[in-house]
Amino acid sequence: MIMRFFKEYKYELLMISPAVLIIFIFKLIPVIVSFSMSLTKWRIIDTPEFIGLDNFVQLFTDPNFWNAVWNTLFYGILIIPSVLLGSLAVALILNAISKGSSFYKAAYYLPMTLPLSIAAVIWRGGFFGTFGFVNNILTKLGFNSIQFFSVELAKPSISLVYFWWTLGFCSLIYLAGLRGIPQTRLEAASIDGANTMQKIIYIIWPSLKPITLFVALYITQTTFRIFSAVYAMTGGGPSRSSEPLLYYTYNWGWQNFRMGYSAAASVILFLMVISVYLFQSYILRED
Amino acid sequence: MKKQVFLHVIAIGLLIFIMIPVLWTFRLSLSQTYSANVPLIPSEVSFNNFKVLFNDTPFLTWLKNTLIFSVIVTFLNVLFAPSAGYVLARGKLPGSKFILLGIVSAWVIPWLTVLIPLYIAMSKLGLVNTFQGLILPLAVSPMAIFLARQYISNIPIEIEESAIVDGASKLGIFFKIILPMSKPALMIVALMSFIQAWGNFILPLIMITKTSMKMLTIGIPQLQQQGVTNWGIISASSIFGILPVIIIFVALNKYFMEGLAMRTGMK
Repeated sequence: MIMRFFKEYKYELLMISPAVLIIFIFKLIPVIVSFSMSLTKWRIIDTPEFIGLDNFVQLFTDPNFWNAVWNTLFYGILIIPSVLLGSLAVALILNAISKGSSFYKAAYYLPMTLPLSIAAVIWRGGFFGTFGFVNNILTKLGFNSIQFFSVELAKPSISLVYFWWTLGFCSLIYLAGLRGIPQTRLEAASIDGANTMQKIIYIIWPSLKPITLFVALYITQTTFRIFSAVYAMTGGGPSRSSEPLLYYTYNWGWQNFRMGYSAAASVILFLMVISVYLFQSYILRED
Repeated sequence: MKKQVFLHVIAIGLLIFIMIPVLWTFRLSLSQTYSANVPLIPSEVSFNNFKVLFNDTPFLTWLKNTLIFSVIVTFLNVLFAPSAGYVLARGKLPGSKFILLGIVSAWVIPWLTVLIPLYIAMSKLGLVNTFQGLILPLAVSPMAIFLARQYISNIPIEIEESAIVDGASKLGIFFKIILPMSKPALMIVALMSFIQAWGNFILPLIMITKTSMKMLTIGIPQLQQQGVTNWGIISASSIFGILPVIIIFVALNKYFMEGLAMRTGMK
């Protein structure tokens, strides 16, 4: 029985097992261990003690936890649709430009070549700072300078840096997806007299669904675990106004050494991302 | 013609938005002061920051380490991810959907969450402070597999069926049909893995403690001495850190264009 299974699927198993093994050993097993920590009380120095769902009860009664959940969702609402639509638009534009598109492609991709932790440091001081680039220009033109890291503006400012950082790269992914659309379908549509808009709605968009799902999940997971940019720019402040959930788990785990409690918060973060993924893959399902 | 001009206007507008912070970084790297408050146009250009970087810091060692690490990670991803993505795209293997959900889960969980169990596992395997310990967790990125799967699922299955009729084997189909048709996706997989390795902060932070094995992402922030940010040095190191990634991009882009030539006529 088992032998027959191995024989029938030997090529598939051969092709998939290195990837599955590595992911299982180095990611999924640590994840399972880490999640099981959420049912314990553990301060690193002592041994973990099983306490059932106590961590989750405490989590749900902490206003700072809900604040972090809300901030995470806020980043998501701001960043996910704007990068998704923006990068699709950029890809369509680059695809339609007949000369010089590789120059734009290379330039748009530049932000991603700066590690986010470093890009964020530069944005913070050099660009958003009181004497930074933007305020420098604003004051020269006679306007008031802007406090980019106030309670109201901290999240939008961080989101803008994220938008800047990911937009070009996501459009490259879309561009690859556009190249993958079978040429015959588009030619047939042209012969039938379809215009550009009709081609986008009836051929390009449906064919791009799998790639859109990828881009959507890519932005979702980077946004929901937004960390290094926050770390470098605001440290979660002012008064926790820009603190996302991953930052909350980091603070409890690595600043206060309450590993079990921190693990409980990361279980919630995981459930949030997975439900967004299931929602997205339902919306973008292939018929 | 009018349409082309319009498209270029939009593209250039976006170019300005994207390039200003990059150019600003470049401009800061040429200034001598410690503050970010410098005039837009430098009055005198100084390459002192670069001199300090090369002579007084282990920057070149970090650069070499990061480069070796990233290239190996990229190579392994391009080797392993497309085949796994292909199997998952066709979904013939029982449990494919389940495996896919596991891979997506592995993708969306931040490294930060698994640090302790991962570190314990690594030290049991004797992989702390080795390049293997850094490379293995990133050797197959779930993100790369997922992208390959999404891309390949768009390749019409009829092409494969006709190849089977012509007597092609399963592996033959993968290497002779699927891989060449997936070139644009392979290019993205390569770029993505390279960036992931290049910009990874958390793994080098916990896996490497030896100074001689440090990576750029750990080294550059440490150039801030006693809490004082030397903007010039930080910018110079960032600008120099970009260069290898641009070179990789240009090299891959040529490859990307080759893949494109097979599908000419796209408008």
